[in-house]
Amino acid sequence: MSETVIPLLSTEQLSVSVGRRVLCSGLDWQVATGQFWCVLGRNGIGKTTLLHTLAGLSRPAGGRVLIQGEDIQSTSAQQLARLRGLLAQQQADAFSSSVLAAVIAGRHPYQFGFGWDEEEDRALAMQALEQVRMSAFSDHDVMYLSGGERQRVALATLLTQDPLLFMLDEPTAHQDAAAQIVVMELLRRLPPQKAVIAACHDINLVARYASHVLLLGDGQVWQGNTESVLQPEILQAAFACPFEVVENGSRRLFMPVPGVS
Amino acid sequence: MTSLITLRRAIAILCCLALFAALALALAVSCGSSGCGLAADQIYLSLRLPRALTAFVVGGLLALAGALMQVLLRNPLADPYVLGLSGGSAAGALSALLIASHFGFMGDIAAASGAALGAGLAVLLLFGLAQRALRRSPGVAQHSGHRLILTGVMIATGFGAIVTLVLTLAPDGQLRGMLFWLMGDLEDARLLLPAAVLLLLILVWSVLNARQLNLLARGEGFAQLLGVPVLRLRLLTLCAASLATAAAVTVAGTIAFIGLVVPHAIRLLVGNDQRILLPASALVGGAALVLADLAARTLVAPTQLPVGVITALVGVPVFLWLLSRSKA
Repeated sequence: MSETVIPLLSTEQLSVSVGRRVLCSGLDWQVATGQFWCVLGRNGIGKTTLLHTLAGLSRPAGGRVLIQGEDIQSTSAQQLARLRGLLAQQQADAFSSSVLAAVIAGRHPYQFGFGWDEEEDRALAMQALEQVRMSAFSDHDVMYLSGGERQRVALATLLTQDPLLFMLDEPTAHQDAAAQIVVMELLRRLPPQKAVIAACHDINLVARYASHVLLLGDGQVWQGNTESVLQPEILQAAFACPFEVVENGSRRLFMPVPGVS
Repeated sequence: MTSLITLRRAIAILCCLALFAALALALAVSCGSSGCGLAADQIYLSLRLPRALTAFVVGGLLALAGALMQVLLRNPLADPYVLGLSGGSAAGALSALLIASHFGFMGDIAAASGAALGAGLAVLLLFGLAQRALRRSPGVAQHSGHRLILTGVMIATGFGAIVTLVLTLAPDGQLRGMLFWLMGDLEDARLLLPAAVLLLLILVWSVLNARQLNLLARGEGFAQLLGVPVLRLRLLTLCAASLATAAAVTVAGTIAFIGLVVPHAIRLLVGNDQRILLPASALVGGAALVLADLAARTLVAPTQLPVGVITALVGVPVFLWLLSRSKA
């Protein structure tokens, strides 16, 4: 018998709820290294809550989340910081800080003692800023960045944290068209021992970049490789809105159209 | 924007501030209501030195507590009194004064023990009521500081009513002493040693945890994701800040503005790196209160002004000036 490979992240009968609202229940799901998952679904369907639960920020209402085969609730915060990172949907800064200092904060899991930033930390942070095209802003104040710029700085922090599993809550939401491509290309080109889970709204970006899709619907979840899940009928069932498919060479574009009422 | 702080720069800044604090202490010891210069040895050793050291320790405790509260509540305008500890100790001290005068006891011992009891009661109330706010899991962008602040404001308001009640009931002869206590009084140096030990312990704890506090200041969820055990850290931070405040208030009454202005001013000058902000706050807070007390003793000598009046009169314009020149 060949040895079974432990998936990077898996859920067993996972249930997620907000207050008394059950958002998804009985989810069995496995994310392996090298995969790029996008989580799709209507507003309020539970994408953010699911990501927070997978990251260990909130407790599941039922079931378990396993990271490298270990229950996430029994893994220490310090260990988790090297295994998974999460880009939040928005950043709430209370104090001024330079962009570079905000990015260097991502090195925390690898620093010891007082962690006076070494040349190496600084170089890694600058490299991450370069990757998100924000290196010219390194000495700006995070409180004075635009929404999209702030999110890209947060992405640079996540790159500096360099976890195995990158989780991102709507990484392209605040980005202009060109920056959306920068962000998605960056995620696709991560080394093969990493994995990505990104909550997204842009179905066509997902179709272009994701290797797998988890589509959350009302009481129903579709999962699988991108082509199998991104079907007009499935999308219509999940979003309660008909989709038109436009063939463009080898690509299919999904256009939401007004439904017949 | 202040750039990153290297170890060398941090040491340089802290050395300068330590020198400043030493100068302030020397000045406070050599000057008094009889003017600067020679005085009998007894005056130096038994009056001025203990008083200057008490001012330094109380100022250090207040500024450190303020800096910790600002991180805990993620609010640059938080101060040590925002969670109602000053109200608790004031109510305790004034009630004790009132009861003591009724039975003919010594006033100052009663005031100190009443203040300690009142501050302790306020801390217990706060911990009891704020448990849920602290235990809430750190969702990413939201912060649970609001609930904590509201709880503290309510505690402060409740104790404020008790203070007013005691002032109304107090005999006229006691009102002056009570008002002086409310504005801060550094006369009594008997609690200097325990307060100094506490300041040292809290300072060591804060500096050891400064790197984690740096992440907490950026957000509870952010810190948790990067490996900081947020729940424990917030609980210990609240503990440290409350202890420091309670000790300061017990020793010297409620002295305003040091806890708000000093950490804020240092943040504007050297940035929000807690590894340097926390020790710098303790040093500058101590020095500032030493100088304020010197002014209170000497400006209209032989009359002594309440030191809280000086801290407020100087603190407000300095703070506004710092605010206007900062880019942030």
